[in-house]
Amino acid sequence: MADTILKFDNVTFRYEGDDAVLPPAVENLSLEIKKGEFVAVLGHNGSGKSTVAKLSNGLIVPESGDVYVLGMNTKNENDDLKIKQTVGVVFQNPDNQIVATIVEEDVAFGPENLGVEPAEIRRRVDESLKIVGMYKYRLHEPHKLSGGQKQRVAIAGIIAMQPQCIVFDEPTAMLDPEGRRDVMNAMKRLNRELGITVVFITHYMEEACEAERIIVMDDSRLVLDGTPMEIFADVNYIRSLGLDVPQTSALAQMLKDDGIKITGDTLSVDGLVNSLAKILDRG
Amino acid sequence: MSFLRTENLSYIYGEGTPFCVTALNKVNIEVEKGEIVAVIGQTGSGKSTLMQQLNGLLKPTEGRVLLDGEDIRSSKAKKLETRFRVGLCFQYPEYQLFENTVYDDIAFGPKNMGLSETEVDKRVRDAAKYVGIPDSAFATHPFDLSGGEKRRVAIAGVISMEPEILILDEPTSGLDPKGREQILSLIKNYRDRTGKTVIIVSHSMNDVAKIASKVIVMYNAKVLMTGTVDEVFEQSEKLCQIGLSVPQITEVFTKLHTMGYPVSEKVYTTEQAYRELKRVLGGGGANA
Repeated sequence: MADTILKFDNVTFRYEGDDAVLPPAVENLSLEIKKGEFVAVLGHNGSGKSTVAKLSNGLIVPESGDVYVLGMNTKNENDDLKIKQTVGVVFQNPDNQIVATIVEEDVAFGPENLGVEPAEIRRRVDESLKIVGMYKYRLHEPHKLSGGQKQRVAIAGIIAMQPQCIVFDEPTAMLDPEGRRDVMNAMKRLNRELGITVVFITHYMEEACEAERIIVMDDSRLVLDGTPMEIFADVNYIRSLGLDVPQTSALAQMLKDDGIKITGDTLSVDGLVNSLAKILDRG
Repeated sequence: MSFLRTENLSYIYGEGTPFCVTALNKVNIEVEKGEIVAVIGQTGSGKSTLMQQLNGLLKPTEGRVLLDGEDIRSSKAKKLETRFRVGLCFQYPEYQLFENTVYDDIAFGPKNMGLSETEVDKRVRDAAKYVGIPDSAFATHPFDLSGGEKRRVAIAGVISMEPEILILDEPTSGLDPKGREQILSLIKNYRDRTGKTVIIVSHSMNDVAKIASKVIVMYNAKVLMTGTVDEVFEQSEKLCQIGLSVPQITEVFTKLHTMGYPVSEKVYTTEQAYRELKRVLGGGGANA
């Protein structure tokens, strides 16, 4: 199991209410993520997705069960620093994650706090900003950037700490389509070029489809785990969870319900074009 | 004559400073009574600036906005009247809730219009009904609601003024699919029941395809295209060039059409796609 970076073992967690006992935000969750994977966690609001993000590097610890980062239990305070260096988290609202008044100083904040040598910090800051496409803004003031740009600065700040895994908690929720695309591309590059494991929490079905593996959460529990094709094969079930399905899968389902045989890939545009072409040739 | 139109409307932010930006450049749009108009375009294309011009929040650098044929800035009285006749709901309106109860927040607008207490009460109840907020939630503090509920309360706060034109700036952004569906159906419902005009700014082509009767595409501070959903989505190449995309299903049908299959390219929703396939497959061989 040397290649497992993140492991949830039967994890339950509940937030504290004022007086009443709240239902668990995450319940009996077991999950393994391997090094180098690009995994999307999909679910509607309140399904427990963000709690998974906070549990993944010990920002909160389970009520029962355990979370392991490279075999280190997040409940073990002695490993806390090592765990947080291994797994970084990027949150939804970029405005809450910027600490400095100049872009490059913001990116340097993390490595400075880890006691990295100044020359090495310089190198990492430049490299991180280049990866997210924000290098030419290195001397700008963060508050004058667009939402998507700010979010990419926040991501660069995490990359500069050289984590092996980054958990993105709805990093695109507050961004416009252009900003969303830029952030998606930055995440893909981290995964492909630097080999960083990416866990990407979202409620946008189109974005989740770009991952290799999708984990679906509903009502604090993991309900599905598979490739995008496997996940969207059952259109009606996904809809019952309050989630969108791609138009392609939805059309394929309508045809199937009608008794029309449709085979092959019905998720991607090109796949569906081929599948429909076969039907039209037949008809 | 159009109900609402703009005449060579231009607006420059920070005019006379080194940071000046032309947000609107000789924009001419026309909106008729009862339409659902969708305004689409990339960030920075001038959509939100245009919306703020339509109810007189911003003063044009050049050009005019005409409501019922009259310049909305022709007099002080006209300016005030326009604010009530054209209701504007900003992006992320849930951040603008400020009263202690849901009821008071929805009542704020009508109260400021100087309406009687009974009329205010009636309007609050009507508006809440449109957005699906039950009476039992009236005493709740807005902050105790979910994100989607807060947004609906904020929209009710504009609807309660019964504007003749309801403008919503990206009403579905940041919501999950369920929240998005609720907002879209409430907009459609509102138009169908009151016959009033609705203008929405949207990034989502799927949303636009579902509800709009007219589409205005903004690009670089100008109007690039105006037309029905059909007319605009037909030009998918042009839309892609300016960073917008057509619905996924439209791509599929455009490709099939190009490959020589006898299907229409004018398919924007899964329902249309399904009907089109059924039409082409006809009776024979469909169930092979």
